[in-house]
Amino acid sequence: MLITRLVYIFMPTAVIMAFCYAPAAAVLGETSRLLYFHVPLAWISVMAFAVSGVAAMLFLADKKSRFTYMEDSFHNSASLGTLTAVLATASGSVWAKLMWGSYWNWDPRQTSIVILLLIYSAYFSLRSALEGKPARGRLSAAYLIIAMTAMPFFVFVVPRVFPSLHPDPVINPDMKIHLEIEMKLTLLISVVAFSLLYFYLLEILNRLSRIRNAVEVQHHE
Amino acid sequence: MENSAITVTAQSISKSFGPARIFEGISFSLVTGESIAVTGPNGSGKSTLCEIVAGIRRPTGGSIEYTLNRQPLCGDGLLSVTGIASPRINPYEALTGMENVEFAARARGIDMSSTLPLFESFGLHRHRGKSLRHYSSGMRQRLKLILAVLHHPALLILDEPGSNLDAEGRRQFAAYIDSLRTRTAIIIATNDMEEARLCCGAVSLA
Amino acid sequence: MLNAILSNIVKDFRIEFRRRFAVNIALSFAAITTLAVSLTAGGVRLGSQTQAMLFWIILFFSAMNGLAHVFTREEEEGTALFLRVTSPAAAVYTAKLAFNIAVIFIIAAVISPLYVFFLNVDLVAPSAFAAAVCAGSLAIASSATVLAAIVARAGGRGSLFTIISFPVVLPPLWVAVGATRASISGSASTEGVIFLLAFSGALVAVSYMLFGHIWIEE
Repeated sequence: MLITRLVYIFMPTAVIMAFCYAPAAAVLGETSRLLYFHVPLAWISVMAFAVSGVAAMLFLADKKSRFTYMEDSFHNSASLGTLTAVLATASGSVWAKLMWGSYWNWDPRQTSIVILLLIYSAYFSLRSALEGKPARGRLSAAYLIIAMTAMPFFVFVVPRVFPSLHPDPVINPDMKIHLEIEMKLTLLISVVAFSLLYFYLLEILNRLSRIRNAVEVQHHE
Repeated sequence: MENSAITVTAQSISKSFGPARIFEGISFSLVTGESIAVTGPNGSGKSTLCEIVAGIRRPTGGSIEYTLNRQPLCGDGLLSVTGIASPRINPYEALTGMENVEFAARARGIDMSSTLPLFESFGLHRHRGKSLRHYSSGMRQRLKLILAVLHHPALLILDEPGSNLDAEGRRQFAAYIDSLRTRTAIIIATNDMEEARLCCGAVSLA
Repeated sequence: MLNAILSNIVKDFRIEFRRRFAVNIALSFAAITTLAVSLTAGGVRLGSQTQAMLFWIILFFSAMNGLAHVFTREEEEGTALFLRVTSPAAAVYTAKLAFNIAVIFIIAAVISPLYVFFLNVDLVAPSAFAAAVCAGSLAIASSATVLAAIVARAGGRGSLFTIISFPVVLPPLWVAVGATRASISGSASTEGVIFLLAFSGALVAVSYMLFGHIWIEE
């Protein structure tokens, strides 16, 4: 499969570029290399949420049962989103300690990722309460769509409630966008690599779900 | 709604709950004036089939099509021309028999006064003002039957209609079904041969 | 359709009036938490931010105790299928929404004076306070109703309703706290009220689209 090959090309390239090609940033020094892992992870946690929302909509809108496999897709995407959100939070707070002196500051982006984690954890609580019920797919899809509806309101409110510390890409203390061309390129490659990795993992998880479903049906017969 | 001709065509419908298959390949057709008995052992999916035909459950596979006076019928339109009584459909305990009927009649846009004779036909006239908490199970069953027929449905689905009814109740019920026969399509799910004999066709679930 | 909505509203209020379960639990909870806050504060005067925040925390958790009941009752008593065969899904949702808005307004109408009285809140702009409370309550009720339907289908016990409601209700809570603080210190926040109304509108619109999927049996 094409995506598998691309992952095997892009991921090593991104890692090598992050450590060898990109220069260390002016003030932060070597710690700035965290950028090439933290930003893609945060990006994927949001993208995974959007993907599960869209898959949930397809699953509900589908009257002729063409997309029944979407039930597994949106769930698997939410699982990957949770994992990346946790990793992005962890890598971000390590960096925040180095940059701002404390692990947690309630900066708008930190707040946003906490909200995302809150939504994911609510989603998983709902899933476990629906364990074994036939309506599980539809109800959890409906919840994802409702949570997605609330998202634009968060984007509007959060910056007003929590003043920002994050400079647009945090690199230098005068808080202006000041990325060298090599750093920009590395960041771009790394975002592409991580996105490919996400789709690759999603495909593997979906395959796993299909196998599990088939085994379950056979077990019943 | 009195003189409407309904047709129901079910084509190889199946139902599974998760990995558990309840039934598959059920096909039948039904028009006004006909009746079908659905029979089968416990757990064979009689109630589920009734609920699918009534439009409150989705089949896993296959299709059911309805027409009313040759017009295709679906969604909320189906709701207003079908009546169903089933052990799983329970009226409100906190309300009286009368209030339950009032709720259903109003929701379907029917005049309350037309429902009074029904209490008499089903022998519930004296108990209509009582709260359901003081109803016996036979009285509840009579109320369920009234709730199923009060809007003169073109398609009437009855799941175990005779359960908990005494001899008098069964006689009243059979008489009422006879009076509906020419203008209604009827489905009765039952294991009672007496009731099955009220019908002219049969679907049996394994 | 209108018949079905009205008939459902009458039925829901009639049952609630006989049992008084949802409102009683929610009101007792609201009264106890209000008293708990004022007693544990021990007579210390709180700042306007703290007062606004505590007010909405109390209102949110009291609402969580009352708003799910309108759907869980139907599932627990086995009347959900009866409702499903008598009324179109949209009518059921509209009636339940109207009922929940009434319940949360009753809760807010009871908590507000208690809170102002026991916590010595100096209301500089009472009408702005009332507007913020009404708009905030509306936003909570409109997002919680569809979630209550989901929770009822999930078995409806425990704190699942609070867990799944909180992330969705968080934006209106923030804005309502801001608008309430502004009203306590004497300025009206029209922007906040508009935000709350817009949020309610969006959630109700999405709920209408999703409710059919939540309501049908599998």
